[in-house]
Amino acid sequence: MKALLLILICISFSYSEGIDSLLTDYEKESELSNKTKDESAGNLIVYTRDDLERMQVETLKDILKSFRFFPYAENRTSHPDILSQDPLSYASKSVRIYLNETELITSITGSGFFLFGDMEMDFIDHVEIYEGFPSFDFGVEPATTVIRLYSKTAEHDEGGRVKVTIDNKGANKQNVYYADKTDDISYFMYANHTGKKQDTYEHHGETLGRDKETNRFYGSLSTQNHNVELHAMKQNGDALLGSFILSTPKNSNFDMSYLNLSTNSKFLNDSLTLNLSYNYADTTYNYDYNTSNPENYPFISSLDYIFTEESFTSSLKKEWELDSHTITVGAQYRYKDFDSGSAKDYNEAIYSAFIEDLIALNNKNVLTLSVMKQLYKRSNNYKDEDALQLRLGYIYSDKEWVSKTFLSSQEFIPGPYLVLDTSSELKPETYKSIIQETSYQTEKTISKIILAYGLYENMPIMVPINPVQLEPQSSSREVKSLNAALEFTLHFNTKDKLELQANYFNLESPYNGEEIIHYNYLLRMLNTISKFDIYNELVINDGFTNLDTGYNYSLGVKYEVNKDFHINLKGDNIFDSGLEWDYKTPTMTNPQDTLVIPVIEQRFMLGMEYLF
Amino acid sequence: MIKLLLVLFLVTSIYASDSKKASGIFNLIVKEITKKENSSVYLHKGIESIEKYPGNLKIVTECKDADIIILSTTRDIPKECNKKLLFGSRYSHLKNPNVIGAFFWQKGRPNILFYQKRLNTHHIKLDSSFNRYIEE
Repeated sequence: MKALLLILICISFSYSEGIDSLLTDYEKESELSNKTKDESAGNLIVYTRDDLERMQVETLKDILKSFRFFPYAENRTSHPDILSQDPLSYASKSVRIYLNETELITSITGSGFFLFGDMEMDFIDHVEIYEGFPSFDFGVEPATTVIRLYSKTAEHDEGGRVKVTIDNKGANKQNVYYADKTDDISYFMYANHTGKKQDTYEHHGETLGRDKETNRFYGSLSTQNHNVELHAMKQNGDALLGSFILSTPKNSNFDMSYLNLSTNSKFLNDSLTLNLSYNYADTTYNYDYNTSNPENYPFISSLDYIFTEESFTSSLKKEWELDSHTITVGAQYRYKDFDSGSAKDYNEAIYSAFIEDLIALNNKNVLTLSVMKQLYKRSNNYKDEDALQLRLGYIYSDKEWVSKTFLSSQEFIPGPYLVLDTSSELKPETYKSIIQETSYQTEKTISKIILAYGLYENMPIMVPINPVQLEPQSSSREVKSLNAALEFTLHFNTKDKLELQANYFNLESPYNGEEIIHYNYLLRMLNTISKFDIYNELVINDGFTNLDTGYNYSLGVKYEVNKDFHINLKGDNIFDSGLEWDYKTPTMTNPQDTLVIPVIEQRFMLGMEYLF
Repeated sequence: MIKLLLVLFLVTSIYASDSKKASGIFNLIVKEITKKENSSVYLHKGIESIEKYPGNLKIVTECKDADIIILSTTRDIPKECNKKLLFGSRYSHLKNPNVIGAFFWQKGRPNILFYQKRLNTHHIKLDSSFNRYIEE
């Protein structure tokens, strides 16, 4: 091994390499994802900056549409909900999303995926997705999936960029960022406007839409050990079917404002971190119904909801390296409340602590042990809860093989949006799982197989309590899941690669125990030919109940006019045959009626970006 | 954590050492400027990549012993350093007219930039492979 190291160091300092190729290699090896990713924290998927740029990733859903096991989906109000279980209003509370070190959350849903699952990616450097009950190191509450978005920084992005994108449906997006640094301080600022236009759908004689208008500002100010971030968003648009299941709205819309202020500080050679975060959001929903429409429930003409929510999170973590042990201890506190302008005002304090030990048994074998405990103190006579999470991991690696095994047992406390919407007592969901990932790497290829088995109890289901009302209750059924994935990546060279993926999803329904089975396939090619970056992707989703097989083919071409000016052309779902989703719209005459619409619509985009 | 990463991605990390690559680029630039195989460099306020992987560079602790000064800041440059060749590690260092060139990150990519006039002042002629990194 020493000889190999010596050879490689000699190669690195060999001056036979030209300065151009040295710079290209350096740029590739300086990808920030190399510094932030943690392979021991879960089953990791990384989209590097190079991937995001060459794939022309406009929003997070562009990469989540091919997410392993769970393709991107939205709920009936057109908000991101990747674990969607219509008519449940939101099922993705265990999917947690971070911007740098800050978890983006809404107090009501308990997870920010609801608001940020389709966020534009123009200020994001790279994305890390940790599947399979990842490390407790990440946050206050447990998670099945953690999505970490890392913003661009002044370290690499001194200077600025303006970008404009339009599409064939009249959508438009404009954004600008600028970053600079002095010897002591650096900053990054970003502003965006997105006008998202989508098709409208006729259903029960009404016209349903899901257009959105979004304005966002993000700014960060950093010194060597401290960082302050401000993130503000204003969004309004159509809410598709709305939340009331028995009527189709003639008008449905929402309007929301979001603000996050956070700090991240590091002390004692980065071994001690303190994160503070404050979130504020206010949201209004308005649904109008035509009571004379025979397909509608005749006694409700409109519904209005107003929510004001706040949360504060503090997190203190300390890491020690003791011989072969890396021990991390964290204490975290989160307070959240929301006011819905009714008697259902609610607040909740969460006290959370975890300890994690990474034990390097030798140079090939690592063991990881983690325990996390939360205490939920709730207002207004709602029951206090406590939850426990356990995680055991074993990792083997050598030059070619990596094997990761994770066993976990987790409890998830029902979110406020469920607790406040039921008269039944909801029990904590319990998830027990074992996940095995094995990968084999050669100079040009990576092959991977993932097997996962899970047992779930007390999953929430929607149960009719009278002819016109459903409420969430805990399913009495213990359900099983069995998932498997095969993945293969071939790097022809540094700029050309082929990815092939196939995965199988099997989950018993918490309603009736029937198996829900689907298959997802991905074929992706990234090529660079002269000044053209070419992206080809085919996503196939098969076996979804009552839905046709989806074939979503996308093609993108990015042309480098010069180093500072690029023109982008991209088609999404080009053959308009991608995965559709069905939403329940029961009527008196047809209780099984559904609305079936594409998850991702066909569209063709033209964009330009200029660096200055 | 360092141990773990080493265990997990030994091969990758060998190639992925961006510090080593950065130092390799500094080595090549310094060699081009000084025309020496083993130049002496003074690192003003430290350059982590060169300190970790000096390669063919000899790091000296006083400006007077150096063939070239590499800057991490243009603040508080010792007077005796100003008589030597100065090379920057950020774009803004080029605002100092004594700095002949810089290797820096900007617009999401690493860049090298020399000013011809400043090279001429010091009678430095770079290899033609550097032509695209020289501005008037």
